Amino acid sequence: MKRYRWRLLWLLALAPMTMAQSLCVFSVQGTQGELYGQMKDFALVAHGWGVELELKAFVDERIAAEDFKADQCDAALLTGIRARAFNPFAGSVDAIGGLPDYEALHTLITLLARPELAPRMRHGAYEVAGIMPLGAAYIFLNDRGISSIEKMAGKRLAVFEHDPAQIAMAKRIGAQPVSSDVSNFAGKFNNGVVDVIAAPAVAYMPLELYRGIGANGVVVDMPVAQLTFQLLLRHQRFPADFAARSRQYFLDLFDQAMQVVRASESEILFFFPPPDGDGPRYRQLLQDSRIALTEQGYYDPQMMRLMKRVRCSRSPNQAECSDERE
Amino acid sequence: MSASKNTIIGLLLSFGLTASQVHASVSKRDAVEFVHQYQQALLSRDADTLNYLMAADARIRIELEQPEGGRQQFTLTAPRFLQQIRAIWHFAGTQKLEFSAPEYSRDDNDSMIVTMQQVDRRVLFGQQTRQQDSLTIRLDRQSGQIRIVELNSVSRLW
Repeated sequence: MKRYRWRLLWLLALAPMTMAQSLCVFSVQGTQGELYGQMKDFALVAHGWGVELELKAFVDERIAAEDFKADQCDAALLTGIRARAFNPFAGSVDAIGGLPDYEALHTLITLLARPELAPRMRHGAYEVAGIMPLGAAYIFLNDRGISSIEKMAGKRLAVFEHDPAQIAMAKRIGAQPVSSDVSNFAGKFNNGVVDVIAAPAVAYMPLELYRGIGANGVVVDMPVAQLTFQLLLRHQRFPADFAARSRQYFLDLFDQAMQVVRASESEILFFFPPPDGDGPRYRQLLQDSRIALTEQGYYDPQMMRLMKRVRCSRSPNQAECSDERE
Repeated sequence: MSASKNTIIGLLLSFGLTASQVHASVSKRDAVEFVHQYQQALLSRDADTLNYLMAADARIRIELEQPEGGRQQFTLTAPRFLQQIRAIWHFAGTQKLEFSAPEYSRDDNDSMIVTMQQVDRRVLFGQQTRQQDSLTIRLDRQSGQIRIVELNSVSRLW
């Protein structure tokens, strides 16, 4: 009897470990840095909801995504661009020129946390259980002489091989796409292998992108896309209300995440807006590219309509608000 | 009686208006002191003072001379302009700033206009660089305090 009781206690002690869900976290800085810390905080909160999360850090996003797809992780924190493969609707938040500023992004993430849109956050076995801002993607140039869209023609532009949108964009402006990934695009820029990259400000100091810009380059202060981190779940492995609670938790993290983004943006040298008069042309280029990519199936049309509603609710006088292109 | 009362009110109003205009304008003496304070803030890398001297809604226009000739114009917000100054302080290994003797004049709206040359020699990422700015600065009072409300610069970097 005594031996049986000890066995039971042993099993009970093991039980939480066997019930733990693995969360694969893509973080360029591995277990260091703000992002991984935020996920550790999230794991503590999830514990309160009855879910034990076991974090695994990945510095290579491709491997994190592949492990998640291969069922090696129950959940994964990936960039929106990578998450698009698991949920095209939410993954299209990072669309080119989709949202002009952070207020618009906050409005959209608030909408996506509402119960009415919960069915759209689920796609097959996967569910998006949180969206967090990673910051706008900006164009980094190693030469201020590349002062217009036309002058980008022929320049070498680093594109992420897993994002057909970037490749299509490069072709549209006549740039030469150079296949890259998160682990090597910065090195290529800093060593002059490519002339142009698109990156968020949070990459500026850790990846030393100022070296690539040097004394003669520039960063164009106009968002090309609003990049996000998205928490993906295999929803059947989690309690029914977990994803909704998690989406609200991530929404509440927005301001905290933005503090990191704004601090990073305050460090950028040679951070200039497009030349006077060029802004509308840039916006038109982004809009045309986005529409073409939606027609080609890269972006989800319903998300494009939702984003247009967000844009037009804030700036109803924009020309696009009276057309039916999106 | 009514006519003379109106005249008196009119005179009082016009006097009041003139007095407020005089109060709102920036004297040359004030402008000289302000420019000295501005230059000292740049030299001592005093971000708080620079922030104080610049109107939050100041319009900053930079005409950048292009290497192949011609100029390209950029309009910056005051926060972005100040952020760029701080970023240069962060990255520039050594920095030497020089100013020409400022000139003072008034525009059609009686605003004080300051023009001067500013040369910034600095080492950036191991490279000796120079920036020469021909500055035209408009000063006005906001809530009684003198502020830069407009700054135009024709700039050359090399």
